[in-house]
Amino acid sequence: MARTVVELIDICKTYDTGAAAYEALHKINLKIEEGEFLAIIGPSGSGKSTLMHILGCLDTATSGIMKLEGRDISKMSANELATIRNKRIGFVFQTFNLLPRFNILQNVELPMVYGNVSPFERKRRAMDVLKMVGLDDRWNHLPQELSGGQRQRAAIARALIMKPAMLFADEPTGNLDTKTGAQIMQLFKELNDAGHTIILVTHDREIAAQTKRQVEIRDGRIREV
Amino acid sequence: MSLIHGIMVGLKEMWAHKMRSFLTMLGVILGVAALAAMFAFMEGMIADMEKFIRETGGVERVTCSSDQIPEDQMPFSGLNRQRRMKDIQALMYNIPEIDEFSPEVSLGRDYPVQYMNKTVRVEVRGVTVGELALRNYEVEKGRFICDLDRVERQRVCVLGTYPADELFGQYGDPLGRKIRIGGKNFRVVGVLKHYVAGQGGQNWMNWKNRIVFIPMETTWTVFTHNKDIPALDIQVKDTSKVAEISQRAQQVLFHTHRHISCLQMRTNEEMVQNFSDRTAAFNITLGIVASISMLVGGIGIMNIMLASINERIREIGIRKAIGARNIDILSQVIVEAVLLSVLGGILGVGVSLLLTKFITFFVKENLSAPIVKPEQLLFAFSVSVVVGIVFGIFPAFKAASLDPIEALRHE
Repeated sequence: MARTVVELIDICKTYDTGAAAYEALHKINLKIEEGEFLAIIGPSGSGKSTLMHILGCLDTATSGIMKLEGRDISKMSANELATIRNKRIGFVFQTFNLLPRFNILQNVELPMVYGNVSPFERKRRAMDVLKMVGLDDRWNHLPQELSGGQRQRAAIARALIMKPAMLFADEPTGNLDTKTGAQIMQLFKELNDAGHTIILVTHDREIAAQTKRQVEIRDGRIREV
Repeated sequence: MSLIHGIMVGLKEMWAHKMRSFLTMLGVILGVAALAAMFAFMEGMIADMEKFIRETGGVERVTCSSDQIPEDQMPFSGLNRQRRMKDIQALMYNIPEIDEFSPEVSLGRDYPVQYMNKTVRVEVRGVTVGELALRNYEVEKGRFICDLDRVERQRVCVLGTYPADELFGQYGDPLGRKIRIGGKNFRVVGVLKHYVAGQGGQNWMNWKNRIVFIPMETTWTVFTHNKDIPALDIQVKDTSKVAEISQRAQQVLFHTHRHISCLQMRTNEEMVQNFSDRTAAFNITLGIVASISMLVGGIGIMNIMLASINERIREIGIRKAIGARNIDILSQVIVEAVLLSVLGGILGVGVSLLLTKFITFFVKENLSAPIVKPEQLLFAFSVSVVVGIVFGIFPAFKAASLDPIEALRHE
């Protein structure tokens, strides 16, 4: 029996827009286990992003309980959430979000700077991860000197560097051509095979179909596909 | 977050916006330079003033000078007489705490002194040996006026370096030569030390060198034909007693002058007090000016940090997403602000050194040589560090309080 990585119990998220309260998420219940490769699908405005922010500890729910590796994190402070994001969660974004003035190695090292890893250890670990995504010969390049696919690989390396409990990918192939996108999806599959828990957020059913399990969000309600 | 990372990020940012960073720093550079240069000039002025007070006898000296006779004593002011040796004897007898007396009879500041066909106009002063202690003179060659010279009404003189150089520059050693003072022959028995102060060809101590001393009694016999002592200084080495003794001296002289208050005792302490009051006023004024320029520099830093944060909202979002805590972002911004101000401070200290050199080079007159003290440079520099921290706090809070989701969405 695989361990539960994250569990959502009756999660609601309400935005107070002044005139009327807008309910973005309604009683979401979701359980993700270690080694899963899950896709969250849904059109824009469905509450997909809100769910991802809550799962990624960037935001907190209005009500309900969220357990990450057994710990209730719904009532944690902003700083505690930052530490959890640092150590337990890896983010991959559609627009890569690498820091433009830092080379690939420094970008990959960045989470370790906030995680208090010694500089020597940082470099060693970063090079290991870069080797895993096939960028070890490009470590001293700036992001803008690399292709989109390479940048996304670097971003994946950065997300993996702290050995997180789960990896979030928000439309990771959205800014890539089909061929490069397929390569990135292949990399995710390999990572999943190696034991990583991956959560893919997308509106593209074709991409979602490549994962092992899909859930759909529509009007703030969740549904297994 | 490691400080090294913060500094590295700050340097990268500054390098990416070289012009902007330099212009921002300029405010701090000028502020620190003004502050440090001001310190240097004040220090120079204080040192010169202290030297002046010391060279004119220090705080131990009390000057007894004539005072306006009050209205109600005018009818019998004729009973009054000049100061004579009797006054000194009365003081000596009644106030043993007085260490030195120096009666003086000056013939004026432009008295003609002649050797061969050369003439100089200097002050000729009849003195006693007390002059050495009270006016802080030292003999370089030969001897000073002694008591025997006075008793025997000897026609001898001691030259300051100015008349000595002017008259004997081409003839060599003045000792033993005869010069003419007001048409009378005097033998040179000594030459005083040379006194220098100031810089750039200006010697504001030159008044001390423009002097010829002769025995006081000789002055009476040869020139003034009376026995008056127009000027009298006394020295009290125990400075804590100066005020009290000058009071008592005034009382004694009151008696010897038939109770006509024609005299006033003035201490140098008043001069010192005056001077330190003035220095304090200067310091406050210049301090305010320097503070304002530091304030302007600080606001410049705050402004640029706000702009820099605005440009980097997305970067802050990314950092927060991958685990930067609020304190990490806060300290990052403060480190960047301090980096700007510290570099400005270092350059400012450098500029202040150039500035003091520059000003001294062009403004020679009426200016004391600046004295650069390391601890004051350090102080000016630390002010810049404080400015960086203080003006970095607001932008830092602004950056730290950004919502990570909003920041990540920012284009």
